[in-house]
Amino acid sequence: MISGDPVGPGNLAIETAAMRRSDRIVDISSGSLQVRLAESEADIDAVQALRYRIFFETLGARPQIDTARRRRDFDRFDTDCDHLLVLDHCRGPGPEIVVGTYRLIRREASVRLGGFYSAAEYDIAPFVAYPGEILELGRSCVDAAYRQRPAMQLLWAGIAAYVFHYDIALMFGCASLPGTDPDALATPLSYLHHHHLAPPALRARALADRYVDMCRLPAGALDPPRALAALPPLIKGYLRLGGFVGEGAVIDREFNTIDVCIVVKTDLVSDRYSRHYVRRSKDIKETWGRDTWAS
Amino acid sequence: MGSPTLRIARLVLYVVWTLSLMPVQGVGLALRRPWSRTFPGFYHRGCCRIFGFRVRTVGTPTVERPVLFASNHVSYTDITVLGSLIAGSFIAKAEVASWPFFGWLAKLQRTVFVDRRVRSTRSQRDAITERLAVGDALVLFPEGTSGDGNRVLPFKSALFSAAEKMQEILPIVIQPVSIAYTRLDGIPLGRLLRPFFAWYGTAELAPHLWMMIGLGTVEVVVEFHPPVFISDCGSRKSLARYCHARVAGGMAAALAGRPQPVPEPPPTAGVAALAAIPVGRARALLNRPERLSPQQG
Repeated sequence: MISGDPVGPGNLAIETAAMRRSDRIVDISSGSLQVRLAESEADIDAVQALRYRIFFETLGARPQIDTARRRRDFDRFDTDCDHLLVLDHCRGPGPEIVVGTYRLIRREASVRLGGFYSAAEYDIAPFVAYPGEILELGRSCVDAAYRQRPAMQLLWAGIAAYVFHYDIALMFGCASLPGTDPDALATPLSYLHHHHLAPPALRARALADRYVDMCRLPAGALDPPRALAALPPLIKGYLRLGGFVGEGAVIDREFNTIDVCIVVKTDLVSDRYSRHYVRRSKDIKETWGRDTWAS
Repeated sequence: MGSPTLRIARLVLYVVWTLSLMPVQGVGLALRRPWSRTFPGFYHRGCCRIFGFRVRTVGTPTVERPVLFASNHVSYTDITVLGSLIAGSFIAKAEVASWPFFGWLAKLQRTVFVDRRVRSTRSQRDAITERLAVGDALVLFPEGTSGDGNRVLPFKSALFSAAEKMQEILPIVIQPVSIAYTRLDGIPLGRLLRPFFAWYGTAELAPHLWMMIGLGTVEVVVEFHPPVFISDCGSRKSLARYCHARVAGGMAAALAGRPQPVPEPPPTAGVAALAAIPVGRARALLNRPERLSPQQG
């Protein structure tokens, strides 16, 4: 399956002996559920099918012609990054076996891709300048039937294993609130702004032409526990890890959402690795410099 | 006391069983085969039969990964009993690694050795967090030593620090487990006989083992309590208190001879039980310890 031959979606569950070995970067099982990285074209196709089902058929995003015709949510970032998958082995060998996904972009991939996805909405210079490895999380979605404990916990466990493996110091990405009217979302936006705004050194700012003020209500007008409880599960998950939000929200009309920028410091980078990364980040700056120069 | 014939037969069977399976697991680990995670369970179930441990379980081990099981510790036989039920690795003090034979067995089960003399490492990472991060199941004995089998010693909250560190990137599921050696040949074990099964204080391993294996069939009750997150309890210290209260309650109930273990709930019940504990509920429970002693049975 990793031989490079075209693989039909029907072969998704078929793995070579080499792949069954536990030398995967992420491979955690919990009952019939498993989390691992995409390993083939068929895996990525299943991810895009799941995203199409959730974003366009359920959440009311407006597909472009090509997206609707292929019934797949895809973009240029998909080909050159890591995709985390949650599989339910009870759901048979077809693409429907993938019930959850996350897109993971590290520095290295962002260099190949010419930047991070969030850069279209936020000025993420503070993250890019951060010493050490950084990871952009995005395009997360989970089948509606799996949005509780075992699958969600497994998805987080997969991210944690990935973060450990690559010694990631900072995770960031855009998280969505449903709807495009900032006033209808005044409570969650204001709550996030007043209680979880990132310290200046880690604060991304919405691009000027897309900036929507998050501070819509005074801090005194909020009931923090209630506001926290009403947030989407994904954002609550980030906050539980000590995550922060950036300054300003962004309206995403195609996806029918308002996005906020989330950043989480992992603080679990070992000394050995932090020393390693002081060196590495210099190398990376050079690489970036070269790439910019080349283009 | 005990039967010499039984003693010899068990010892021979144990040695043959162990020596023939050790190379298999060694090869499995070297080639990183997934079955090397479940193979020790198969080995331990064989050992339970050889030593005459009849293991009765209450509740279900959670299938979630990563997970930290927090169990009381009565004897070296806990490894056999818990190993037969949980596909995971144990956390042990560093000295165990250098023990002949048992040290090798420990390594074959990918035991995490913790050097407790090292007070604080500058690194936020340690062997336990590394293993939790890759989604393993670990068994921790938070008493830090084995007790007398009658009561549960205080839990050392420092041993939960890995779970606290992991909070930064992943809330860790923690499941309290109680283990109790309850009956010998069907007759309840009193305080008088329990030292034959509890290994503690200054008892030497070899004579204790020699005495124990000559006895008959032992009933062991293992209770899996509802799993929690550290955030449900508030802090590492209150997590340790919560786990201790659950484990002590389970052990007391088992020793008091709760007539029938509660029927096993479906595999998702642990999760449901957890979902039913809202944040802060565990803290509330801690303030009312009487709620924790099981009344059922």
